[in-house]
Order: sequence, then C-alpha cells, then structure tokens
Amino acid sequence: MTQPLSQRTDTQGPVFPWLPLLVVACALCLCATLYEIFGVAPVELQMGIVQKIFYFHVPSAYAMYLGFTVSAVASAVFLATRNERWDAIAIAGAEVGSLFCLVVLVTGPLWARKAWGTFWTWDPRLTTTLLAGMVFFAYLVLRSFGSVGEVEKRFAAGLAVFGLLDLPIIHFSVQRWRGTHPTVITGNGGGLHPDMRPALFISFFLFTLLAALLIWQRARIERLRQRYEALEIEAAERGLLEET
Amino acid sequence: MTLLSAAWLVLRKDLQIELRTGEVVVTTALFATLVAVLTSLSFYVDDQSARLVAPGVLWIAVAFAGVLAMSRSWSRERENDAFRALLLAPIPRAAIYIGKTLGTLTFLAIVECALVLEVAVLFNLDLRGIAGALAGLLALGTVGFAATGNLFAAMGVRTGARDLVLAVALFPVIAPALLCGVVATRELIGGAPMHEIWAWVRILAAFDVAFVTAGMFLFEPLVCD
Repeated sequence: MTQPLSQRTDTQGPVFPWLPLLVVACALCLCATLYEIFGVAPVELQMGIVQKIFYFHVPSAYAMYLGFTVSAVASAVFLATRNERWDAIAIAGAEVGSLFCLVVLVTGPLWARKAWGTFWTWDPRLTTTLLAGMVFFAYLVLRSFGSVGEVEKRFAAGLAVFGLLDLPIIHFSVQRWRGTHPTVITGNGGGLHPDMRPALFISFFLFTLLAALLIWQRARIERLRQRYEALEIEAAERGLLEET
Repeated sequence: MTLLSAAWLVLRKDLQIELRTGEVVVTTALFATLVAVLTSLSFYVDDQSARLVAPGVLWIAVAFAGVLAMSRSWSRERENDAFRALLLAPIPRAAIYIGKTLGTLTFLAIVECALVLEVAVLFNLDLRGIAGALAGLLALGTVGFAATGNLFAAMGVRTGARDLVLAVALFPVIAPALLCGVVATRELIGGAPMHEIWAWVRILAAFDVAFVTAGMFLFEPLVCD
C-alpha cells in the first residue's frame, strides 16, 4: 500500500543549493572575460577585430567536447545501470555539446574567411567537429520524437558511445587524407601573443563554468520531467486522472 | 550451443528466407544500380575525371544500398514480433547480432560484385590487376559498416521513426570508413604503390575491430529489455 500523495515527500524534486552560486560566478566571469577580450587584449595586426572571434571559438570547441564526452560517458553508465539519472546527464551533455558545436561551426568559418581566405577546409579538426556534431544532432533528433520510450533512450545512448569511439578514427583518417596534400592549412598559424593569453585563459574558465551550469540545469530539468512522468503514471494507476 | 553455431542458425534462417523471396538482394542491387547510374549521370564529365569520381560513386552506392538491406532485413524481425522469439531462443544474444551481420555481409557481397562491374562499365575503368585489392578493400569497409549498421538497425526497428532514424544515425558514424574506402580505392585506381594503400587498410581495420567489438558487447544491453 502506498502513501497518500499529500503525505509524500519525494514529490519535491531535487534541490541544488549550489546552483545560484554557480550562476553568479558565471555572470561575474562573463563580465571579466568580455572586459579582458575587448578592453585588455591587443587588436591583432592583420585580422583586426575579427581575431576576437578566436576567444569564443576555441573555448566553445573545448566546451563542445566536454559536453559530448559527458554525454557518451553518462550514456555508457546508463546502459550498464539503467539508472534514469544517467540518462538525464547524457541528454544534457548532448544538448549543451550540440549548442557549443553550433557556436563553433558558425564562428569558425567567419574567422577562417579572414584568416585563411576560405570559409571551410577539410582539416582534421574541422571535419571531426562537423561529424561529431552530426552524430549528436542525430542523437537529439532521436530524442525529440513525440514519444521517447525506453528504446529511443537506449538507441541514443548507443549512438553517443559509438560517436565518442568514432572521434579518434575520424581525426586520424582525415589527417591521413589531407596529410598527403602539402597545401593544407592547419591550426591558427603561429603561437599566441603573450598579451592575448589572459583573455583566452579566462575565456576557457568561463566556458567551463558555463558548460557545467548548462549541463547541470538541463539535467535537473530532465530529472524533474522524469519525476513528473512517474507521478503521472502513478496518478493514472490510482485512477486520479480520469476524473475531470 | 556455442556462439558460432548459434550464429550459423540465425544466418541460415536469413539465407533461407532470402533464397525463397530474393527480396533483399534484388531490391538492394536495383537500388545500388540506380544510385550508380544517377550519380554517374550527375558527375561524369570525361574519362580523366571519371577515375576520380568513380570510387565515390561506388562507396556511396554501397552505403545507401547497405542501409536499405539492413533496414529490410531487420523489419522482417519486426513482423509478427519475430524478434521477441529470437530473443527468447536459448542462444547467446551476441549470436543473433553475428548471424544478422553475416547475413548482411553475404547480401552486400553479392550486390557489390554487380555494382563494381556496373561502375567499371559506366566510368570506363580497367579493373584487371586491381580486382583482388579492390575486393579486399570493399570487404574491410563492408565489415565495419555492417557491424555498426546491424546494431543500429536492431534498435531502430523498434523505434517510432525506423528507417529514417537508421540513415540519420548511421551515416555520420561510418563516415571515416567511407572516407578511407573512397580514398584508398581512388589511389588504387590511380596506381599508387601498395604501401600507400596499406595505411588506409590499417585505419579501416582499426574501425572494423573497434566497431565489431563494441557491437558484440553493446548488442545485449542495447537491444534486450
């Protein structure tokens, strides 16, 4: 016999006391980063203001891989344990990773047009990012069909694991493919000017916080949704939904 | 019952159905032919560029036709809930996966034989002398492709969107195998030395090993309730 719903304590949903702190830290860090990028870091001689994209682009790529890795690892744990908590983290990682992937794929060509004179080149890093993005966009498509059942969740989890396994193979094969052509443009040319380093460094820190915050929030929403679903099923079992 | 003899049973079941209906091989071969014809219509300029385009046509046709074959082969298991019966059978679960994958490999091998000839004719290629190496490349590429595809198809067949999901999820994952296959074939046709091609074979083999292993281990947790 289960308790009456009014006396239940597990309907509260998870509580995260640290979340407001993380939001404040993120906001402060964002202000500091913007000041550092536009106020302190020198304007690059050849590319001018366009070079500032770099401070958002590179940390976004890092945040993207952070999100995808979180998603794939959580997916693997979900497949092993079948604990819904890990599924929530997996979808959060995939969504946040895809978001940053979009940022990378938009800012990259804008920067490349100015730096390399072309929007796109089949560089290993670019190709790996694009294909990783395709894998996780497929993940999101899979998870966004009307009724996401157990099968879709597992399919998506399998896709995330295969996606992560795939990344080194993609990178290696594209490297070999373009490596045979000596004209390939790689990386961002020379090293970074020392005055530009603090801006990049603090930007990396910001994007770590931001990715953590977004993944955390998204996972929390997913947990709430799962809890709501469970309660709805329970209510239906008790015949509470039929009265209108 | 050992893993391999159980896999042989699953394979034999698929082969028997195929021998009686011919459905998968005929449909897949026809579709692969269509892809080859349409792409050669689109890309053929002259004999010089044909040698560069033909490998892409060949591998794209294999990939598209392969998705069709796997999706059809697994949707048979959905009819009358045959898949549940397979899962209930007293055999290792991995045997179902291996059997279905071997079935796909058999079907695709037949389709590829026809396809290579068609592409050779359409693009005016002389494949004598490199036929063995090309067969090896195709075999290596198809193994990794079928291993990944059968795992995804097994899951996809039970989702709401089915075939659409299979193509969308599978193609980005097999992209590196496709790239290796295409570039290696292009170098083969262009007469590159064997050690150049060998590097691609190694990447393809790594892809095969990684995804066959992952498929064998993940099939049970992914597909079984």
